[in-house]
Amino acid sequence: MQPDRDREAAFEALLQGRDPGDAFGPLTSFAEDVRTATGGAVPEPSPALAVLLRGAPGTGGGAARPAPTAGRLAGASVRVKVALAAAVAATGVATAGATGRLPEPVADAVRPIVELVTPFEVPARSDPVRRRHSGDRAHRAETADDEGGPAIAGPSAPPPGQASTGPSSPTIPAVAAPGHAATPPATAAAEPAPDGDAEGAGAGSAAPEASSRPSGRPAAPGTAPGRASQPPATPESPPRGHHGSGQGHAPGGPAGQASGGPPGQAPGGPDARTSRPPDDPGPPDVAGGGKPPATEAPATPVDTAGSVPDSMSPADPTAARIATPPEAGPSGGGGRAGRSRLSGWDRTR
Amino acid sequence: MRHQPDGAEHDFDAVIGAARARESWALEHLYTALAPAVAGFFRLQRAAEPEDLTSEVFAGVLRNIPTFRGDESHFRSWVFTIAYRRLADERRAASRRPHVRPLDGVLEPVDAADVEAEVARLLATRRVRELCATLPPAQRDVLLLRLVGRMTVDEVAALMERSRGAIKALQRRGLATVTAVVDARGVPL
Repeated sequence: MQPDRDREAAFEALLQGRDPGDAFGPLTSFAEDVRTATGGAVPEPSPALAVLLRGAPGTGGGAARPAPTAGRLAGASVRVKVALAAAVAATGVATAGATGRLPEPVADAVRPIVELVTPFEVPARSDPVRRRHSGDRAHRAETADDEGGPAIAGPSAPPPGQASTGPSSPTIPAVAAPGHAATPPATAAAEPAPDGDAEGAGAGSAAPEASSRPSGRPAAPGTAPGRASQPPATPESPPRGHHGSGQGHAPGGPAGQASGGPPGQAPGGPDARTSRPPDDPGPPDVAGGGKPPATEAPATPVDTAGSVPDSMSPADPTAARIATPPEAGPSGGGGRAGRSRLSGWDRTR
Repeated sequence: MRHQPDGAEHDFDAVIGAARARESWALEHLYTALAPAVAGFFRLQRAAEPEDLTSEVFAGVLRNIPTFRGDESHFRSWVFTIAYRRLADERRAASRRPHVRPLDGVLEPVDAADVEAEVARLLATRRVRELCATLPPAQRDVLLLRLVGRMTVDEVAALMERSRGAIKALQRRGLATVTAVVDARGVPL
């Protein structure tokens, strides 16, 4: 029996080409067989290897071949990489904004850009709430004649001159008015408000809160009361009608549907602006939202009665849809939504 | 290493320098010198396509040859390092594919210029394969890398990612097994 050390020494001798001796015949035989088996003819090179053997630069696959995409990206200049990163980031933000996953402040900042460069709208965070309230048909009926001033008169409200462009559509005032007339229950719900500042009419979403309050103050205290009671659009009744119809077309606009829902859920009846006579310019401080409701209230019945044409019926779905008031949700996000929807409605027309 | 493309002898440094410059004669020389050993290594390891694997190995070698630094023994070890890793890739790929039974009866390419030598090679290949079949894979790898690749224990340890002592133990046990099997079978004449 050969010790392992001797066998290893014989193996090292074989590797170095020396004869380890007759005592290690099996090892010598094995090493000879290996050398014989690994000798012989040169194998035929593959076509790719044949090209390389002719001295051409490497073109075939191999260890040095980089991944296509990673190689291209790694080889790009810093400028290209920065541009690519910016594009990816912008796409991500736009997508998140379009799907409503951005925080409200960020969404507000991104919304104009997204809506400018893309066909999408960035939904406001308050939309779901608004839509939930907008399901109340009584509220819609009540606000059918409301032109949606709150949405327009909010932070993004157009100047009065712009609002007056509405009358260019002759049919709008007539359409907007009937809805209001056709909704006695909702009106009744709003009437309890002594000041008539049921801004919920203007902002359909604010309805529940508004109707529950006797004074008709803006529904959510911190949610753009100025918008709800905003007068800038009020002075021009025809324009209001125009806006009302346009914003009533908005999906979230609840008030356009003329139907008698439960009074308790009927939002606060006609907006102060809508209830104000057409020639009533309204209080000047409306934009700030600090206007006391009492100053706006009295005009409600007058406006309603005067603007209702006989041809319109509350059951008319078209009228109800067109007369849907603008969104002016408590959260204040309705103004933007109402505006964008208005523009969308204008486009469709 | 000697080569006479134009009747003159060249040492390894001259060949490898010319190969870095993509001189075709140097590239062919390197391939001719080592391709039979690489193909034989794959054949003894029962690779499915020894010639194709050899071509792949040398394609990588020729592409990366500008990065090589070392002498002739290092170059041989480097080539067999690539070959061993390529073999490992082939084994991994084969493990994911349906098992294909090797065609032992298929005739291997024979050099008609020297039939006797080719027959001796085929017989030797068969004996070594049968002997290696009795060895665990790690012991077989160590012995073949040392004998065919002429790699040192340290180089094999680095390639197989094991310690020097582990490689020496594998080699010791492999040699004991080979000796026992050949003793039992008898040394071929």
